[in-house]
Amino acid sequence: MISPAPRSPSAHLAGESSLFLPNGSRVFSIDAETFAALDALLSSGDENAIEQRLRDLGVDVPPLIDDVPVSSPPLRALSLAVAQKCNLGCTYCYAQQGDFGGAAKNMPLDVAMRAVTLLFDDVAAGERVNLSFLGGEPLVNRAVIRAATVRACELAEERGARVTFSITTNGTLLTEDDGEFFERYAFAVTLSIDGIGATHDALRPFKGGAGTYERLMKNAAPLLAKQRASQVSARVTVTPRNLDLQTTLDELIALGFHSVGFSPMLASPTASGELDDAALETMLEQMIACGETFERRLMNGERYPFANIVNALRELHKGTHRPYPCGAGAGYLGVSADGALAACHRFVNDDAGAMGTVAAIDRAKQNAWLDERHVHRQQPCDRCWARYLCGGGCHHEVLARGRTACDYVRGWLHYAIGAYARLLDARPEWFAVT
Amino acid sequence: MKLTPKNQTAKQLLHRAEGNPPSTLPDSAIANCYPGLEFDFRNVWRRIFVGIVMHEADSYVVGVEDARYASLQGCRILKVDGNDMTTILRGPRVANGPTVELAVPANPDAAWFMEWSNSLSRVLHKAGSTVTCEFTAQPSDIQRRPDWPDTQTVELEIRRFFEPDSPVIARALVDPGDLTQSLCSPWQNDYRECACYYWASSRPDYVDVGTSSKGLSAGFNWMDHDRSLDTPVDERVYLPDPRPRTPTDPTWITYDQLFQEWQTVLQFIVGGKDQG
Repeated sequence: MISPAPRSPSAHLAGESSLFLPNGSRVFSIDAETFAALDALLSSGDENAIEQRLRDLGVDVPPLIDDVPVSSPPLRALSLAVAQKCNLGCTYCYAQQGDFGGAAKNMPLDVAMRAVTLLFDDVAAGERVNLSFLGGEPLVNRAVIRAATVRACELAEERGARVTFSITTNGTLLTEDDGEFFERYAFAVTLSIDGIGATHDALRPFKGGAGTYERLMKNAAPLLAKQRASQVSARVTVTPRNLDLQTTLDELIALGFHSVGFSPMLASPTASGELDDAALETMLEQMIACGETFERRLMNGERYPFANIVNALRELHKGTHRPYPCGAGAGYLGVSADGALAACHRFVNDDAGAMGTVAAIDRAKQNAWLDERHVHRQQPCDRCWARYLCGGGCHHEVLARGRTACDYVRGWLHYAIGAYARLLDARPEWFAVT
Repeated sequence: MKLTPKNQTAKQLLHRAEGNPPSTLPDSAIANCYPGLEFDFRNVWRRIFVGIVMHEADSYVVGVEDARYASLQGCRILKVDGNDMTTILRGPRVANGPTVELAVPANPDAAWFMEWSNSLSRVLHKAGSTVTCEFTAQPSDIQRRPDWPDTQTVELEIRRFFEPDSPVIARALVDPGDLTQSLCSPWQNDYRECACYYWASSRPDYVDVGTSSKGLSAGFNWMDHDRSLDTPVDERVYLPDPRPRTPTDPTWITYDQLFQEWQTVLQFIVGGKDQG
């Protein structure tokens, strides 16, 4: 049994016969003899011998990612913190129950409009941008969401560009009319749901303490029934109190969610709900169990929208390799209610990710950030085989708490590489659909 | 040993099309900067603007595919979306001399066209949209400087470089055969034409080299007919191929011989030495 632990920055073995090369995120299938020889070589830690062996195998190529950071990238996505306030009191919330540690406020319409204008500043015909709405709870400020959406569509039409929309909501304020609006504008709607019934209620109560699950599900039902152009997905933040992932996954899929994804709680302003090593290990076991269910279902030709494995397999198939974990601070920026730009929605009101205002991106700050956050400048990423898949981990979590989940991330990717090899051979047609 | 590329990046970087020899892999390519032996990548720029065809390495409009742009035939492109496509050559004419414009009779403007890949990098993100392009008003056989006064301005659409969501070069950019036209012909003319370790990179040049009694290296030009390992090292002389070439001089392997008798005139050189 091969361990996911990092033995070389140049190569990794997974599954029964998979060789993963970080340079280009390339996946090869190798025979048992080569697999065993590489396994011994990786255990020896002799980096020169490993690299020589890769040359002998004919799979060495010049480094595809260099040390040069992305510089002044074109803006392709914005998230608007349309409401820095929330009606829920989730203790682990990165936004500190919605207000990001400041005064509760809504984004004024003119700020939203300036943000939309900024998003289209450099967009050419045929290009695609994304506008997302977050909070706090964004539906507290419904009118601004709708006005900004309509304006973005007008600008997209003027430019011959495409715009897609997304919103992440706690669902308690959702109306049927919202559902129609989201369907009309083909929103990707993400509902934050942390479990079924009481499990969810304990983690995501109203500020007064009452549960929200029943309200959320009642509100979500019409949207789930309506989704055609729109997609309604569930996002589960995993804490030590909701680690029964398989049950949650099956129930939410049965309810008709377009996809269901899990995200570990790694850094909370109050430390509440953070997963420790033991809990992360449990979560990994659960994730792999869910992944194995996905494999069985796919083998049977069934749809089983477990977002984490679907995304991992798609990215592995493409061979995604990148020096950053996401587009934060690059093509994607967050906008606070008062119009300040931040590296992403989590950095609202946080100087660590400040990048100007909706009037203009502060390119000097942005480029300094991109320079600083390049995975080649992160430790101990330079020794890890997963560095171009994970990109060094969520900036916000890493800056708040350090790299506490590397074993979890590697364990998951290690499993995913094995699953990729199994499924690619058995279900090649699934990968042909993009 | 069995190794099979599985995902897209593994296949792209180690892709060997069925029937293709190993020399078609990028890492075994016989090439220097361009045009190369496998394909001439410069040709992807020829149709970068919808409606006209450019020279692959020059500012010259070689063809017009849309009658609206008929006036551009034979003209020189000067600017795209405000960015200069040419520059002025400047430098010293003699060592330690002053920096001057390096005009010559064949290029009185000292104008020099910049490589497409560099000069268009600032506007490629506008692919799919229309940009303002400035050309010389009249056809011109010579390069023109970026501030050339007599110009015409047209709006041209920049083609997308890749097929959507794909690393494949856009079909509209290259017609069948485009990428393999204008190749070097290293097995013919260029085998002699490009001397001294330049091209082809795997071609020998200075052979049968030994150390002379003066402690200097001595050997032969590989294109020199009259060479033998029996010649004492002190008597071996490297005869530079004179320029301009003398196509029929019997001292060297001639172009005709390279075309028609390469099997006999070219010898195997192993470890830098003639193998008889």
